[in-house]
Amino acid sequence: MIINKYKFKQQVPYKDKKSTWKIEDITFNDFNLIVGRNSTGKSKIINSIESLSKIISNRKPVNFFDKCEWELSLIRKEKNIEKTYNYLLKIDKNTIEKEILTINDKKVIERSKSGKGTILAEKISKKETEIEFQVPINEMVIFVKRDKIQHPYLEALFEWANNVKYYPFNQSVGKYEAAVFIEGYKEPNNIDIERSIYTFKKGIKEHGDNFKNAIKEDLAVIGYKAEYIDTSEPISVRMQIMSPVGNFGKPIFLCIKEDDIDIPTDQHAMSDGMYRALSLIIQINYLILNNKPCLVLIDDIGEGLDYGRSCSLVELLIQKSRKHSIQCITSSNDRFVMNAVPLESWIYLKRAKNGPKIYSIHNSKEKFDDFKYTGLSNFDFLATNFIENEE
Amino acid sequence: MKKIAFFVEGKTEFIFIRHFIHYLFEKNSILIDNEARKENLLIIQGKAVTKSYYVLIRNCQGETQVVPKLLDEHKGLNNSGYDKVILMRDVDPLTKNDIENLTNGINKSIRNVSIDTDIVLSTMEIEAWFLAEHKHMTKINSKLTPSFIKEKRGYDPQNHNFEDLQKPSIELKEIFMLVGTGYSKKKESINRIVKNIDFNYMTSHLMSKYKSFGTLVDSCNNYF
Repeated sequence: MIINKYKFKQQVPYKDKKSTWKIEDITFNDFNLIVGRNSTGKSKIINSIESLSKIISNRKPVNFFDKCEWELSLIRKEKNIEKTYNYLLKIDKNTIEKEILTINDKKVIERSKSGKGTILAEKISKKETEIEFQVPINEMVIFVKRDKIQHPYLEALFEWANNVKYYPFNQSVGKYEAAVFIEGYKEPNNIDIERSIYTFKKGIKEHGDNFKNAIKEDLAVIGYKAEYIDTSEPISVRMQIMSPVGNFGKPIFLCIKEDDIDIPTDQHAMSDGMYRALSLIIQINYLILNNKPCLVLIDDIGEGLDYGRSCSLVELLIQKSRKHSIQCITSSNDRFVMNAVPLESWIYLKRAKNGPKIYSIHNSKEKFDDFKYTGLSNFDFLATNFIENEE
Repeated sequence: MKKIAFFVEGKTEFIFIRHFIHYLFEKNSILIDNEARKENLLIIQGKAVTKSYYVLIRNCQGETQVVPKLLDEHKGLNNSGYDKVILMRDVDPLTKNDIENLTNGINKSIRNVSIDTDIVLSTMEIEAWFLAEHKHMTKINSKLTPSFIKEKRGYDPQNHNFEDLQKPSIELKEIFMLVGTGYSKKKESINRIVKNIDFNYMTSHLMSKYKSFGTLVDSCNNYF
């Protein structure tokens, strides 16, 4: 299931005023790079998609948001048949004002501010029937009404939302955190990006050396030659667990044994760039080996990596998104990353009142084609503000 | 379609080359088909009887950016069919004694660029050419005649060698200050001068004395 089109609107009250920020109609591809100058809304777009996915999969409460409206179009391929899911969600503080789901233009869920609405049930008296319901005003129909028999279409949407991974590449999330695995621990339903070490262990348990080799190969593609990747007790730092109760296991880190270094490098000692790349590669390969279609959101991709590695990482992701069921929506300010990503995958933001103007090959083909004719590198599309003519 | 790219140091060169191309197009009966102005980028497309032209002018925003910009772009330009590049920058902040080393250095840096590339090094700044052309001055302010300038600045602009000045832009500013207007490297100030430049006079009188200008004219004349 992939996002095809997306709209978002947010109203933030301030004293007696209201500020509106909105994105009109973005069309997404398998791989997408959001570019634009500072403060155009690159991160905000990525964060809004992540927030929506968390609401749909009940990982974030509705009362987290002021007035927000999302409109999402997803395409799902089921036995070679394409279905389009259009989902509209409108929230105002702790109330869901509107929730509509259509599949191939057929309305399957409609719900209003009171919580009342209708939903299509598939197996009442063995036929499709529209039934009425009333749910609490702060509960999502698509979550509350999950039912694999009556509303099987909700599972695909829930699974998509639950598999959205958000990765802020400009942060080394989890780098300084060791993991302690206690016997009998319960596996969480959703793997957070911060828990790369957890994903790593899970991946080895489920896929053995295939998983390790896939990670090793991808690290080599981006220029990190590893003899092996594993977990180990801390090497670069001394750690002690202060626990009032019982005897926990030993803290462990991810580590890489590089060809040209005598001892393994644990995650604590890794450069930020290396750790971020390793974490991302672990997560992506786990998803691929588990054949889980998913959306990966990466903000500031390449941050902390040298120009060669950031380009290689981006090229690797482009390849993977083409070959596997992984959709990537990334953002960057890095000229090398921009030059590594074909213009067809660009979503260019231009700052405007109440939200950015969006340009892509889907709505500005002529300008994008004109630029190709200049022979200049992609970065110049941004640097020269090519999308607009100066007076 | 013939494609030529100019990689220039800054705004002054950017504006000057635009006007120079307009002059050359008119001189060679090339009709301007389209002109697209972007930020620090200009594309002029022209059509003659038997040929069409695509001229790209890129402001590299710094004398030290001109060569790196070409090195970044040359493969793409080559793939896109460009057959000529002109690099243009001031010699300043280097000195006259550095010209040979600078030329050799640039040639070495661009040795792997497969497109035919000419190097234009305005000595010491492009403003030397403006001072030498001088006719634009009376168009801007009728007081600024050669005799007035001789009286106030101590030299006759009609036969002075402005390449001896390290900062001709400062001298240009001093001249315009005599009539209360001044000169800066801002768009309006540059436009005011370049719009009034007599390119016919420049190309017929200044090419041999100002070798860098001569290189520019020869390169363009051979191309269009």
